[in-house]
Amino acid sequence: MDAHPLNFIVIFFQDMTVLSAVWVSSLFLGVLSSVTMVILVIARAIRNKRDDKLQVHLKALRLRILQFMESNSDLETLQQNFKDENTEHIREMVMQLLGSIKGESRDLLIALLWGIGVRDQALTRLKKGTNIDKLQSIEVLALFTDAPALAALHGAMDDENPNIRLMAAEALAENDPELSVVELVDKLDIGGAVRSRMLREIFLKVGQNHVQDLVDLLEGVAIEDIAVLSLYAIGRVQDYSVVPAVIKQASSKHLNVRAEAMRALMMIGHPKAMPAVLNALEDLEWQVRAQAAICAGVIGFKEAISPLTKLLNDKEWWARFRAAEALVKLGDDGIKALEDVSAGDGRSAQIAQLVLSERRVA
Amino acid sequence: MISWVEFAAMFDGFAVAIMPWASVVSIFIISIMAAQNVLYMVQLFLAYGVLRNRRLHPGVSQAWQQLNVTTMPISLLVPAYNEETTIVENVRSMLALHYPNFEVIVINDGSSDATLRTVIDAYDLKPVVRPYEEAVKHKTIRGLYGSVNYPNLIVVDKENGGKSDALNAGINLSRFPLFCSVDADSLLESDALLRAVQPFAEDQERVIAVGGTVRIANGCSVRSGRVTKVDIPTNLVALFQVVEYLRAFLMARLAWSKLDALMLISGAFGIFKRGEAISVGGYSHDTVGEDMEIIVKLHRYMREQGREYRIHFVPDPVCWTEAPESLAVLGRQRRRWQRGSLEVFFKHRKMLFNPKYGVAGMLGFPHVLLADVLGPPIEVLGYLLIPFFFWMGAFDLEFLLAYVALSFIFGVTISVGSLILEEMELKRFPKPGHLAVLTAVSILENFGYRQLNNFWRMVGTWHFLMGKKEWGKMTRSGFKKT
Repeated sequence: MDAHPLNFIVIFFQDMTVLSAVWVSSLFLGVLSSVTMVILVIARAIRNKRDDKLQVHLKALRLRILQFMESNSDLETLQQNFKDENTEHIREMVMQLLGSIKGESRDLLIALLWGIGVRDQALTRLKKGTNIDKLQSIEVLALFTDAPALAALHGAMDDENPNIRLMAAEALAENDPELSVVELVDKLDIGGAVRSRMLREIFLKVGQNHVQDLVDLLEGVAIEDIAVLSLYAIGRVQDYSVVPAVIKQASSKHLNVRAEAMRALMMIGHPKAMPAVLNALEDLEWQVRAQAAICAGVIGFKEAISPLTKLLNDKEWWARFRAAEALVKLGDDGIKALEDVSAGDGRSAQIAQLVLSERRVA
Repeated sequence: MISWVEFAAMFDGFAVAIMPWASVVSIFIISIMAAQNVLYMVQLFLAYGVLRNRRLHPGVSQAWQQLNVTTMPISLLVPAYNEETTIVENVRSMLALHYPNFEVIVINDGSSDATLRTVIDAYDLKPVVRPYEEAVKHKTIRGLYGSVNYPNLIVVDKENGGKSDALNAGINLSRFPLFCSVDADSLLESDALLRAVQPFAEDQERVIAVGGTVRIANGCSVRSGRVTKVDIPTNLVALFQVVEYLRAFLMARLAWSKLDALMLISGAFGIFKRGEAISVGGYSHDTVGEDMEIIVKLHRYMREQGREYRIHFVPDPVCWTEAPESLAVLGRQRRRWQRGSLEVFFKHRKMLFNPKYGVAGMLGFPHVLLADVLGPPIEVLGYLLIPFFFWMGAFDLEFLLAYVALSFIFGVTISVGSLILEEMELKRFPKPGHLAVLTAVSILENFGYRQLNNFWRMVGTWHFLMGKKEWGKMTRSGFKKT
């Protein structure tokens, strides 16, 4: 029978007691870790030297790129001048510059990335690279709107890593008008592996082109997180046709959905929302009552003055505070109501006095 | 007077009496030390896994573009007590943080120096009114100050009540869903908030608290409230603490966070959901370990409510703090930390090995028992008894060597291992010389410094048993300015 390659360890320890093994292994690990550290120190010294040279080179490269951009060179000249450069270095420099450059210069830089093959590399690395490679590739591909780039990003939406799926969705939301909210819901595992706040911006960008899909989602999907995201996007697209669907959500069984519906109605600012808002001022949950108060103040529902005045005596401080703020927003009539309450006593008078005095100081 | 002969006879009697127990005591000591070392090794590997797989945002320079859309508004709570020399510069650096929507709430905790006047004059503050909810308890607020020139700065002047009391006042005044507690003498890196808040953005329903890495600023160059050049301290006491902080933050907290059993977020830099912090009554006044206690309370509350939650630690965000450079001041700090740990442990002892509290009760809290309650006395007992038992012939050299391995040599592996993690994954020390010095210090700290620390912790335990309550004075020498 062949001996196992690690048999020497077994042989080494077999005649030892546990106590001896503790002593020997502690010495071994102590020496191993110290030697590893010595190697890392040496490696660092070598890398620092190399990095110093690289930094000088990258600085010069950056300057060359900027000079070419100023000289209005065409793409062919640019490519010619950078053909011997390391594409990784150019990618790094260009990605840094893109953060602060707009207009034609930006387009030229993106074309340079294409010309020297960075985009093609990104297509390959998105399929076969490590997770970091994939994230960097998505960052590059987000600059392009050609069919292979979009197809690769759609492919990345099937990646097993939720961060990669999310980043691909973000890039597609920016570049692909065909991306649907249905695909987002299908592939992102919203509320499961993906719970990022970035989803709100993605839903908003995608939803702008697919308002009806958002409404369908609201009516057809029972998942709380998806309803909240749809309402977030719907509230910001300023399409009055969605108001009935949002009003329906104001009586959802989920607290977060009801509160988000109030926020959406506030953003849309349609008068049809009034009955739902008045109703929400008496919601069982204070978060919804407080949000409804903000909504009433922003839209300017004078009909809410009486329920808002009642809300000044709410058992939750934030509901009282938002009611007082809303009354201030409702103008003279609201302020008058607030002043009347402030002349009394108790918690409603206290919050009325505080908000009125804050307004005076401001 | 007792003669030498009588003394020798008494000693022999004592030795004979104790010998039957020597084996039991020695095995108990060595078992506890073995358990500690196994746990540290596990932590080291867990931390390595987390660091390897942590989410990196490609192109660090683009952090702002990538992260700012997902942020949530945040209130920075800065308790200040007698900080007249540093407060203006530190507030300026906080106001200049890279973050889309935040406010700075400085809480002057009844300073006896000119902290309040200095900050009022520097920022041209005027009395303001700001309605707030009396959600958590604190001493009376004497006044609020603000300025049209700095709309996101509020200064609270209140009666002295200690750090937890000041933080509670800040929580009440805060109007944002998140708050960040920051020590007035700490310096945040400009994108620290942006990065630290990401766990909330990635899982906004479940994440309730996040801690970030705290590093030692002694030796670093500081300009306008920012660390401009990272260096290592020249003072040996501070150097030992650099290694200690690496071990505590890069290894221990990262590993416990991975296991969902993080029991401490440093008071110098932690972000919390305001609603949840209020639900547990804010910071407690009856402990000097208020930063640990609020985390333990959060675990306890969320488990008792049956709610899903996460308490995270993120290794990248950095808060720089000044470490004590004298043994006297360091000793005071360590005695206080030990007292704080014991106060929290005994206050919440119900959680120990209680499955109702999940991983926190079954793993996090037992670790507090092992590391903070049993660890120091057993280690000190070992230093005294094991050589004595050996001298008395209670066990052979093999046992003594195993003890030396567990109490000294494994410590070298753990300390150097943390430094290896730092260099492989973070590379925050710019020069190879820094790493060489820190490697030497990582070895050296196991022979003297660690034992001294244990002595201080024993004194802290004694203070806890005696019911001592004061904080003790912390003396600082200030950052090296450029």
